[in-house]
Parts: sequence; C-alpha cells; structure tokens
Amino acid sequence: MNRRLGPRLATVVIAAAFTALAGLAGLAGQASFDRAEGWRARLAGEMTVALRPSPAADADAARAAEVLAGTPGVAEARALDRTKVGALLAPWTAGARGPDLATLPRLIAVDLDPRRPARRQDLDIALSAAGIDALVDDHQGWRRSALELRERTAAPLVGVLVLCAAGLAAIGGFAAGQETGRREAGLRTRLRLGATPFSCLVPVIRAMVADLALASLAGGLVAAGLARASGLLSEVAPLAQAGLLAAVSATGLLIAGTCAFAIAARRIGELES
Amino acid sequence: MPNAAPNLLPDAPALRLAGAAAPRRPGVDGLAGVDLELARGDFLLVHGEAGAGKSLLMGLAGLTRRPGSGRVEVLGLNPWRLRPAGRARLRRRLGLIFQDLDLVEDLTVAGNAALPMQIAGARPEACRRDVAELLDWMGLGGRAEALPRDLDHDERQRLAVARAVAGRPEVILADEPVGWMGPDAARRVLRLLLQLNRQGATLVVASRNPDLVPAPRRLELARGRPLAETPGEVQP
Repeated sequence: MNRRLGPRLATVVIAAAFTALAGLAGLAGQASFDRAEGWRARLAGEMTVALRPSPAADADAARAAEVLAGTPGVAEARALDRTKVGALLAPWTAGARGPDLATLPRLIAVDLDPRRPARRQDLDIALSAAGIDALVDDHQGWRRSALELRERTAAPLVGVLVLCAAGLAAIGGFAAGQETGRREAGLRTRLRLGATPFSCLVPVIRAMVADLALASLAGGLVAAGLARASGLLSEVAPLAQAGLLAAVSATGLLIAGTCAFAIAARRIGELES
Repeated sequence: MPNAAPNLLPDAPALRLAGAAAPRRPGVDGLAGVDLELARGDFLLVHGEAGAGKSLLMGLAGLTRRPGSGRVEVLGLNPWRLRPAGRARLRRRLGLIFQDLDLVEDLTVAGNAALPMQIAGARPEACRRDVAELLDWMGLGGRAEALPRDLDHDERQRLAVARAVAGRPEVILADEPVGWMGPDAARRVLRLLLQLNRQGATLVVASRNPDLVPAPRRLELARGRPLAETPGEVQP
C-alpha cells in the first residue's frame, strides 16, 4: 500500500528530534550526576584541618600533620604551604592586592583510609590530646552542596524528558490518526466483510512502528553525534552513553508506539461499531 | 468453499427484526417500526421509492448500522451484544452488496474478490482457484489484475457481487445489485443470486424496481415505514 512521503517524513523528523532532545537531556543528566557523585565521593574521603594563624604556625602544622598521620583511619595527612592556602582561600579573602599570607590559617589535607575511614571526632580527639588548637572540617557542607547541585540540575532535565515524552506521545497519536484516516475506506470495507478490529489494527501499527523505529534510531544517532561533537559529555563512558541513548530511544519508541496503538485502536473500534 | 463459522444455531431464523428503527442521521428520522422474520433459505424483495429506507434496512440487517431502537438478530444472534471479534465472525456469514459498492481501491479486482475468503482464513491456492472461476463467470476474468478505478460502473458492480458471494455466505443482502448493469449482466447476476438462494442461502434484494425479480416474499417501504408484506411469486 503506497503511503504519502510527506506526512511520513514529518512524523519521522519530529519524532527523531524529540528522541534526540531526550537523549541529550539524558546524557547531560548522567554527566551532571556522575560529576556531582564524583565530587561527593572525593569530599567524603577527605577532611581539612585548619590551624589558627600564629607565629609558630609552621611548626604547629608539621606537628599536627604528624599526629593526624598516626591516627587510625587516616591514610595520609599533609600540611599545605602558605602559597597554596592563599590560592585556595583567595575567592573569600583576596582584596584588591591579594591575601596577606601571614594572616591566613594553616591547612592540613587529610586523606582517609577508604576501608575504615576515621570520623571527625577521632581527629578532634587526636588533636586535643596533642594539645593542638585546630578546627576539623569533614566537608559535610560541601557534600550537601554537591547533592543540592545534583538535585537542582535534575529538575529541568526531568522537565525536558517529560516534554519529550509528551511530544512523542502526541506525534505517535497524531500519526496513527492520520494513517487510520488515510486507510479508512479500506478498513471499513474489511470490517464490514468480517475482519476483526485487531487484524485491521496490525497493518496500521506495523506501518507506524516502522516509521517510529526509524525516528528512534535516527534520534539516538543524532544525540550521540551532538554529544561527541560538543565534548561536554566526555566524562560519560562511551559504553554508558550508548546504553543510555539506547534506553532513551527505546522508551521514546514505546511511548509513541503505545499512543499510536491506542489512537488507532480507538478509531478502528469506532469504524467497527 | 466453507463458511466462515460453524452454524451454531441451525434452527434460528436467518434474520429477525423486531420494532427495529434506524435514524438517517442523528436526530433525522429514517426507518422505524420494522418487524420482519426470514427463515433460512427465504428470499425477500424489499422495494420502495428513493429515500424509503431500503438501504437503512439493509444496513441494519448487514450489521453496518446499529439500530437506534428495537432488536436485530442475525442467524439467531444479537450482533450488538457480541464482542467485536464475535460480530466479525457473524459478518463473515453474510454477503453484502452495498449500493456504494465499497470496493478497496488499492486492491486488484482479484484481490477485492478474494477479500472475504482471505478474511475467513481460506488457503491461498483455494482462494486463487475460486476467485478465478468466479471472475470468469462474472465476465471479469480478463480484468483480474486491474484496479477498481480502471473498471466501468457495470464492471465495478459485478465485482461487488462477486465479492459478496465469494465466501458462500448464509445470508446475501443485495442493495440495488444490478442498478448500473446492462440487461445481460443484470440477468446473469440475478440468476447467480437466485441459484445461491435455491442452494440454501437466504436472499434479501433491495431495489426501487418492484418488478426486478419474481420473489416469494415482498416488502414495500414508504417514507421509512413498512407497508404490509405481500406474498410474491413463487420461483419457477
């Protein structure tokens, strides 16, 4: 049965565009999730100890690093030199001429043992026992920020995915309506001659699914190409990208196909009765 | 050629309408108050002027139109109480010749004629053989691969008749079956319908012409109402 190329092409292009958009949103979401998770995991494996500025700060920092390195659950502790601390704190402390390094606290980076990480209290106790006045930061605030960032990024991406799902549902339903309308005379005759509604539905759905599957494949490939060209999503592993795009495309096809099925079944049911 | 479904209610009338009514359009009166019972093998000629309601009656009997009120039973079953699949099986036991012919324009002549058999699940070789024989008989043997749009109206109507009888239906409903045909083709088609009726098929023919064919039962419709049914002529 010859089908007009224009409406088919329009269906394929629009469905492919929605699929590509959904794929890009999925990849962006995965990348942002991975990045936030990476930050959170890294921050959870570290703590920072700050010593108040004093004339003997360098000696205190070396001693504190030694004490901390010997604390159970600590893999490594190293005192950061003044220049590095200045660079780290510059966003908060820098005036027009840069921070005064003498007034900055000394920082000690502590890497925790991933198998049995020390708790914040353990470091507090160890430092107090050594008579060192210091503030232990277990990065809770930063980790919370990483989670908040992840959630803030997720909301618009979920919105885009919902929009794409609605668009695919609409295009699937619209295309099925068009296709059923185009075949209406033949379908009505077949139904009058005793064909079951299901047997009339099969060729309509087969034609729809072929177009929507093509759109789904094209949309997935376009999303992959754009993601690769932009380079913004390089942190998502290629295999994970492919899996994610396949899942998004298949879900899009399922949504559009289900709507096409529902609309075509309703129209054929109306013709039958 | 087997029928599409086994005869589950052999003693039930072929067609029964009780107070059946069908609006022409929503809100516009069409046909009303039709009571009719046809036994298996009966032959009824329905006649009346244009707009009398003949096609509405054929639509009710042929399950292409749902009654607005009253009851319709075909081969002992109330089609509108069946599921769509059950209704489809019942439709396969009917042979319909529509006034608008209802040919499938993108199927060939042979494809159109074979449609009822294909829908009933007949084997392709049996389909081909029977369709070839039927088309030959209808004078369309040389046009088997043509499309309906390449046929003249006479040929299209013969094709519609061929398709209606192809599945050896138990009930044949023919709405103006020879309206556009030349006299020879019309005689041939009517002879075929009468032959199938003699072989046991119930036949209902609707026509504006009350003398189209001698029929043992005749029903006249006027302005959507049935006049008293009259006995007709017995077939020679």
